[in-house]
Amino acid sequence: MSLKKNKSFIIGCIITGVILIIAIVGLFWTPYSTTKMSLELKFAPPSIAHIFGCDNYGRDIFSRVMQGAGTTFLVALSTVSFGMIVGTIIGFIAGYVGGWFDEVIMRINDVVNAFPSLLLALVFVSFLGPGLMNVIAALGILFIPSFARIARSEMLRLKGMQFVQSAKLVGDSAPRIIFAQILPNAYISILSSAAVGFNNAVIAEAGLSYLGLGVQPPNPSLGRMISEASNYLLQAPWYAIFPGIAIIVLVLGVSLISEGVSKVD
Amino acid sequence: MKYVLKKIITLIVALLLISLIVFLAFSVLPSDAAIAKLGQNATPERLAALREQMGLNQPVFVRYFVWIGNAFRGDFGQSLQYTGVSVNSLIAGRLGNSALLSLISFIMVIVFSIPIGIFSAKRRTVVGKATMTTVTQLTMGIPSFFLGVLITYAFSLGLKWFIIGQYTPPAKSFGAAVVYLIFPALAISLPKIAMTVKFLATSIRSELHKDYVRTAYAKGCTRNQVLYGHVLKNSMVPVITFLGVIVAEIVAGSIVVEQVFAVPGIGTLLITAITNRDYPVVEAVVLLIAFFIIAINFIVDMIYMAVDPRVKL
Amino acid sequence: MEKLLDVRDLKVEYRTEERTSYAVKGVSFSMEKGEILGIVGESGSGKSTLGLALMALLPSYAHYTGEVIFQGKDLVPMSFDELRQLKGDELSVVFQEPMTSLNPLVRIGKQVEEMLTLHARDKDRKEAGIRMLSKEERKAKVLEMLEAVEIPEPEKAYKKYPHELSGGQQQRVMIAMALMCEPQLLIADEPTTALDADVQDQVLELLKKINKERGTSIILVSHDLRVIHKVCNRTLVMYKGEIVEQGTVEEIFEHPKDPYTQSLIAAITDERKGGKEIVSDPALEVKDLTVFYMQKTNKLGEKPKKKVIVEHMDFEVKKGEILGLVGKSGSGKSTISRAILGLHKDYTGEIIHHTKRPQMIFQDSSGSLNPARKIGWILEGPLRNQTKYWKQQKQKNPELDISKYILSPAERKQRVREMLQKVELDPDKYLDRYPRQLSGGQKQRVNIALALMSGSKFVIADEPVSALDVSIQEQILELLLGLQKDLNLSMLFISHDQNVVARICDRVIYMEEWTPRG
Repeated sequence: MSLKKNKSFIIGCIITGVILIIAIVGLFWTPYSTTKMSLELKFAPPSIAHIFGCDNYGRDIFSRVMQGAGTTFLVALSTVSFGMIVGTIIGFIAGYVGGWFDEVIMRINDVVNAFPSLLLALVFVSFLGPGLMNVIAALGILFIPSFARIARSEMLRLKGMQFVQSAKLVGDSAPRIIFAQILPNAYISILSSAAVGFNNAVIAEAGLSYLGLGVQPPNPSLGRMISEASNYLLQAPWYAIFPGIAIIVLVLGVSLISEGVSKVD
Repeated sequence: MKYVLKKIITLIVALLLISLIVFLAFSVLPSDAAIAKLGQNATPERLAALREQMGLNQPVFVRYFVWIGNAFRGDFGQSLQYTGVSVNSLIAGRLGNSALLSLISFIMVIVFSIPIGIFSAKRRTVVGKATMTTVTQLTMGIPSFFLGVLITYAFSLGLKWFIIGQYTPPAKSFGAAVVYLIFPALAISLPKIAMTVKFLATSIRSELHKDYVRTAYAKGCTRNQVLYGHVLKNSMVPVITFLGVIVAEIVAGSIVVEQVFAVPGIGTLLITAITNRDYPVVEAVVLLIAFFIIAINFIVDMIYMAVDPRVKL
Repeated sequence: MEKLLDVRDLKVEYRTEERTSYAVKGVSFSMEKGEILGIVGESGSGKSTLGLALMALLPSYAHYTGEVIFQGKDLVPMSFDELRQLKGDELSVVFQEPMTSLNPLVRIGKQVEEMLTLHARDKDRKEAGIRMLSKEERKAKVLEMLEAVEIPEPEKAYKKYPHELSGGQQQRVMIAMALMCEPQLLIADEPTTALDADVQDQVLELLKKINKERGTSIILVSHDLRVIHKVCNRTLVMYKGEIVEQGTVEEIFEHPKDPYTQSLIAAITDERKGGKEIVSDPALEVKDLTVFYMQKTNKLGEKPKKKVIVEHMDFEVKKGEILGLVGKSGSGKSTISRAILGLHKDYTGEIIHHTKRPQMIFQDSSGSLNPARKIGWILEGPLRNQTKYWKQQKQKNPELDISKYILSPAERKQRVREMLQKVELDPDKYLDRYPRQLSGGQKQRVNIALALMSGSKFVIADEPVSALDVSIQEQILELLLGLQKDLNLSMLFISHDQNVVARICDRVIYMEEWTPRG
């Protein structure tokens, strides 16, 4: 089935696209100020003016969700890109070279991979301290092993194939074999694990922020909004629900895309 | 048996490696235990004296060996935050709650995901497939803490089936503890159930295309005989490994969800310790969880070998 | 003799969302009791579809019309459950891949025994009064059957898992299973294709014995005319979903009427190249070559085992000569060729090349071209590397005149077009295609082009046609012979197939001469 006909892929792209636009716009412009407080708007329910309602300080939740989604997007994108690039290079080299280098890398990988990313992120943040940059650093490093593993297994699968042998015979250099011959065959599986990684990053960032260890005020964050909102569930359930839905939709969009990609071929 | 021995040795090495990394990570921090105990404004003299007393002046490797040696004997030292309280007693008071929570979550995953997974794999209509895909994708993407908030809203504030914060430890009333923990367990396990359902259904579907299934049909098996007599066992083999990952994820998920439901467990202890920079507690908890996850991996490997005759001992 | 099977105007079509394709286009034939009927054809001829269609074992998107009358009853309109009772009981099948056709997690004995438990009830219904077999009786019957298909130590095999048996034994288990309920008709779909040559003959003998001793009628589906010739009484020849010819094996082999059948038979009858001895300088000399590899074991602390493929091998390939190297499949032929080209380092002895840039034509035509790249890009590779190499030489030695080695992108494209023409592919059509858009024969043409691209005069061809259909094989061999003559190539032609080697080589050597014993 071709990608263009795959429903999961199309719906996923539309959802992700819409959220991406909203989130990027949110980084520069929001309908209301995300910090301006107002007593009369405290716990205002969703209305035409404030479609997601207002929070305990009377701030517009939609504007804050826009910005929070932007931050989350930024964190997830930068951590996954970092992990993907570094991990792919390490995995490719380990798979291509083999020997003790491969052995060491893979043993470290096994250990790190056995641990859920949230737990490792917690450990990292506990000595780096909370904050946006530290969360990015922690998650970015944590994603390296999973990409290294995928890249390595792709390398092992492909390097045994005869076109690689014949490339060696016609005199291709090692970097050329890795990047011009093998990479074009491996990028689909690397990208689809990037989608999984993206979602893990979104959930891990939200979790850390919920625990108060992630993005710090005054930057809005979806996780921390839910954490604050859980104190006012009776007065203003929408305060918790809308940021939560934002996370779910964000994750759903990307997983639909990866579902679609995995069905191709 | 040789394989098992090798496995155990690798596991011990992994555990030592993790303990070393954790210990080193915390020892490079500018603020050490002495500062944490006396506060930022303490005089250098008093700090030096305390460091001498706590053995902080020794080289880092010596301190590591002292620490890991004590850890082997089950002694993780004193908490910095609660003066005079041993890390052991802090953990001991909470371990049971967390273990029970994880256990209930895991049982939920098994009980729900296997029948639903088989059911889902059997869906053959386009609509049936699409519905299953959407439901599982949606459920997989819900962060467990948000699910926790929703469950609190529905069952505690709405239906009043339990009161948040009023947890009874199993030592007092096992029944009451289980009833309370069902709700956080639901928050933890729901996304995992969706993942396992999807994994199992995919595994069953891919097994259905294998040659031995054609053989089974050629032998004259009914559809159910093919599914339950041939396919299910084969498709469970990869699921075993997957469930190992799920157990680790449950443990991690419970750290956050304990917070939502105010369960006094290892997770809440860890978060408090991190917020208050109570390093001995953080180190001990991380090591404990690491040990648990590694043990789970070992068990998974053993089960795998028992089920699949192709994996040699 | 009475008719066992009568197939009338059977059509099978595969319906997917995108398109409908006809695999079998209205086929009629009949079969008598006790007969061994062959169905022969190349891949895509519909022979396997036909074989499996008789047992309704095709995937759900296959649709049937026509009549399949088996023992007086039409199978086509039957329900799943009616058919199910016949399957395994009256109608049995043996598949091509015994390894994957057996359930990997269930012991052999239990898998064979399942036939008895599955059909006990059906039999009960038919002839009331027959009691169910007890557990011990079932086991005894299974052991008896394992013995009958000549499995050594049936008691032990009973408790084994499929992966613990060799391919030949696995196939015997499949046959035992198929025979368990004493079927009227056994369909064998390429039963020996996945097996080693010497095991193939044993399994074929077994099928013949079963036919003789038990009177089981057999349909043997195969791409291999020789297999059909050995076993069958009568055969159908299929081409593109239709039966082009049918008759007794003698008729078809001696007086083939259809031109397609004639070409198939021509391809397997010995045809030798005029063996003229070639006198010239050597292009390759191999002296006292011992090739081995280290076999990794999974167990801890065990050193990798040294596995010797050939020892003290001596031969030379003369300029302009095609030397055949014959060895069994799985005997490590490819490792030798890789050692000669410097891709495999574990060897001792001398390998002397007297030509520049020796190249290789690989066997597997699906993995031999980069699936993510276009044909044009792949073929330009050697030229790009050549340009790069000479530029580097220039940097070391500025006085070097490299102008004739440096090719502009346009010149490179031109060279590629010329080469495609040499291998008889239209450059306009194929330059921008991906390997997956090519047929097996076309891919092999591209492989040949790639090997010749850098202007090499010595080529190792490693089973270059064994993955191809017989009629395509013929075309590729013609092409190789033509190119060898035009370009005065020297060639080491490695194959397991005596016929192919005889067809193309000037001289033949045998690997067995150098394989270590034991």
